[in-house]
Amino acid sequence: MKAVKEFVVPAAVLTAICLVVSAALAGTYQLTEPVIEAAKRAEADASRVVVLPGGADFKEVTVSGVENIVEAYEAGNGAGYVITGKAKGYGGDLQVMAGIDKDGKIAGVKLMDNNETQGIGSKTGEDAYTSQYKGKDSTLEGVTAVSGATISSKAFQSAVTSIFQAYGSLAGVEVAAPEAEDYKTVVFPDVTEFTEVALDGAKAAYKAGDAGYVIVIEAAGGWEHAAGPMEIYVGVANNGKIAGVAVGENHEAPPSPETAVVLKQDYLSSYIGKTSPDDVDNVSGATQTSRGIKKGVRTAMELAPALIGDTTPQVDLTVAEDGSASAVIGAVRVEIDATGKVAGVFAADETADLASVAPEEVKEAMDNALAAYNASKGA
Amino acid sequence: MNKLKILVNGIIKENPVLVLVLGTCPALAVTNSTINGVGMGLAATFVLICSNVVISLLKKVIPDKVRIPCYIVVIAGFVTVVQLMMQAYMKSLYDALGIFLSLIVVNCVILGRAEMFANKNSVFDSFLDGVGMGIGFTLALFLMGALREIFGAGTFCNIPIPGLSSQPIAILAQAPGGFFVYGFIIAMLNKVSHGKAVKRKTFDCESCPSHAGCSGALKGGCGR
Amino acid sequence: MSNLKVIAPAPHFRSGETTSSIMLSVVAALIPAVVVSFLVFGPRALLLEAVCVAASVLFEYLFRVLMCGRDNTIWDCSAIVTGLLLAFNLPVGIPLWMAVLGCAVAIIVTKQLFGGIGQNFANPAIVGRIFLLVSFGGSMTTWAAPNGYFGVDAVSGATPLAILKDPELGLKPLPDMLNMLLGIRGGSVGETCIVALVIGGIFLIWKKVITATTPVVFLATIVILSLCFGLNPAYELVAGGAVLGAFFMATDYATSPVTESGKVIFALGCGVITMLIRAFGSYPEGVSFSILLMNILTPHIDNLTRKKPFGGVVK
Repeated sequence: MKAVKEFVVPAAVLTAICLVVSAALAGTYQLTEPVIEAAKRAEADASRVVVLPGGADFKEVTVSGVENIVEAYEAGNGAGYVITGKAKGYGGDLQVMAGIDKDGKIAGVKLMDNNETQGIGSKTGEDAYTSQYKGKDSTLEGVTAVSGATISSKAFQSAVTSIFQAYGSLAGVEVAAPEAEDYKTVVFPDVTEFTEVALDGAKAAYKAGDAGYVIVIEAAGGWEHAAGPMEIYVGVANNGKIAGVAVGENHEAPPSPETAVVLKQDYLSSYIGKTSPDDVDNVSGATQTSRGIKKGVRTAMELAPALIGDTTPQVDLTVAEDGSASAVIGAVRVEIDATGKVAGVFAADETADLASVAPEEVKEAMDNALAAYNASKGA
Repeated sequence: MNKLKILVNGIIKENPVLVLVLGTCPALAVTNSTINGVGMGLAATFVLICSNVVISLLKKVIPDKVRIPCYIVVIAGFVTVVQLMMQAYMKSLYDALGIFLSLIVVNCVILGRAEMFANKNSVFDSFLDGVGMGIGFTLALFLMGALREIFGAGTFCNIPIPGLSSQPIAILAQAPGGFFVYGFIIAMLNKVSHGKAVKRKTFDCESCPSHAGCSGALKGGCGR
Repeated sequence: MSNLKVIAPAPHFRSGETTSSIMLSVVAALIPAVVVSFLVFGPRALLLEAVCVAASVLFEYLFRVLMCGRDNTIWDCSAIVTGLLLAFNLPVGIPLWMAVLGCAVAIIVTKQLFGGIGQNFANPAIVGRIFLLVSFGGSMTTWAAPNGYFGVDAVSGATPLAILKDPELGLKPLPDMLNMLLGIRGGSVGETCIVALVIGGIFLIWKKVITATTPVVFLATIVILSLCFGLNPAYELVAGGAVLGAFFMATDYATSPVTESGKVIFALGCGVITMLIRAFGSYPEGVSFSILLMNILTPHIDNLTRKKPFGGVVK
């Protein structure tokens, strides 16, 4: 009997308490479950209405044959679809919810689950970025990335493209794909035909019509925390000078918006006309990326002679008996007097005007003429 | 014991966080903001009051052998009720407290008071003790949360304070800072109460949770 | 305490050394570095050092006399040393109120709250510095780049260690070895001039205030490990706070082991942790963290290396 008291009673009491508590919990759950469910559904619906105003009565539908789709809902009132797509961003997958109206245009987009860097990639969730999507169709023409958050922006766009594909499959319509960015045309805007050529040491190289060559370098050494190398497109004109620089695929995303500046043509155009990156300033605040670009440009310029040949300027020097000289370099004729100073600069072609020659070319011609003159004097 | 004394006991003299040093996990973890700290304090207070009352009601029924499991089941039940209610009606606070809401089950204050008070005293006394301890817990968390938020983040209840919000002492909002502020408050309390708060006369070995492994038990007490 | 007579067994030798005389020797050893800090960083460095010393002494006085009614210990000059060492660990442009806050943490929290001189659990200047580093990361890592004696470029530049950590910054030249030794490089106020610090260190060893064990083993470990990790050993030796830490901070009496073998273990640990942080961690400099961690381990090291007293029983 003592055994009963010692073992059975405690166990019985514990069991009884457990039963009572479980009953109480079950009761509370019954009470609160509808409220919680309704709140969840309202929250989800509310977020769907944000991207598809005018939509109501959402029903889930399945999408087949399209990758990177998380879920899709059709608005019961025919307003369109709300589809959630995903893509690999900077910190892992990011999810985008987009509302496509019945005309196949975006009614709204919203950044959902993501691990993008706070203040940088997370800016793709902000109104300033998402509002530009409104009204766009599947080509996403004119969409610009968030400065300094290239990868997150690209991922966002990619997710939206997947969403359009899903829309196409659900609504049974054709969707046009967005145009891929061609950096070669950024560097040589007037050239239409690019033919690929082989070049050792470069990731790729193209002959840009008659204007020159585009050398693509994969440059490591940009931002220290970059997840991968940068693609630098360097356009080299036939005269050996840089025609343009563009940055393609890159993983630059440091904590400063100055990176946007350093990747844009406003800054990169400062390379045009130079033969090396030495005189180009770094963008302060994006020093590492600037350096990475310089490295890429330097490498490209070192490889350039293999394609365009030696472009050291030909100096046609005629030295007169009194020590003065006349040198023709390209389109410029430089007269040098007997003391070794420049006496005059003229256009090489008698009928042309010196003003038609670019000032840098004139200055270079003067430098080269003087160098050749001094060399000939054995100085 | 005087009813009022029981109530006030938990606020200063035997403040669970600052004197008894119970419930330090939530005290350190959720006090990086004032609102989170107070929210946690109120949730724990509710559970504390309910569990004290129920355990006091059942004190004659629960056999000594299984008292700890029984207490835990009761406490866990109340915590789950609070969780479900919060999720339904106070979603933002629920999201803010996150996992620490479930951790109230193992909050030493609640189990400790059940052991030290509720199973030995009447229902009304236990109720008052729960209220007093809960208020003390909440006040302590409010104090810590306020200090850490004001100096560590430069805001108070998410309102930026001019002058402090530009260069806050960031370490205070992180883990080491939590310990700094905690120690500082305990030191201040000791100084203000001239060390009287530290005495713990109401301990006796049998009801102490660490009775089994305590070397002081053999010598007749922990000598505090 | 000061009214009690002290009874001790024979032999009754007095060396004439007091706490204050030792501390003043340390201050004297730091004077060359103070001079160089003025030459390289300008008068602001002197201001920073003066403010830190004054704040440290003031906090010690206020705490002991006003808060606790205990005896006034500022005359043992240890607060002066702590203030100066903390100043040496700060960048020259740091807002003065932050430096004062660091002094408060160093003196009040690390030293006085634990029982005063000799009872601190870690080097007070190190704790103050780490507190400031975690709290005010931006201000603590904005370094001025000097370009010679009597010329400070207010442009913020990277320290040599930061340049080493970033391979692309390698396009920017590292200061050459002469500049590194003379202190013409980015860094905190006191750590830059190796020559001045070594002079001070040798002075201390000559005066028998410290033994050569800790600095030598610490620096040797850095050299050996930098070879193992493929870094430039001469550079790792003179860059950052290694020399300052090795001579002046790892040798604090209260927080480093008592026996020579203990000191070897201590210095070895410091060197290992410093190099691990420099090579693999995300901070470019690891000296302060390593000294802090080894300080905390010191009681255990003392336990392990306790010498058997002559005729005593080994437990």
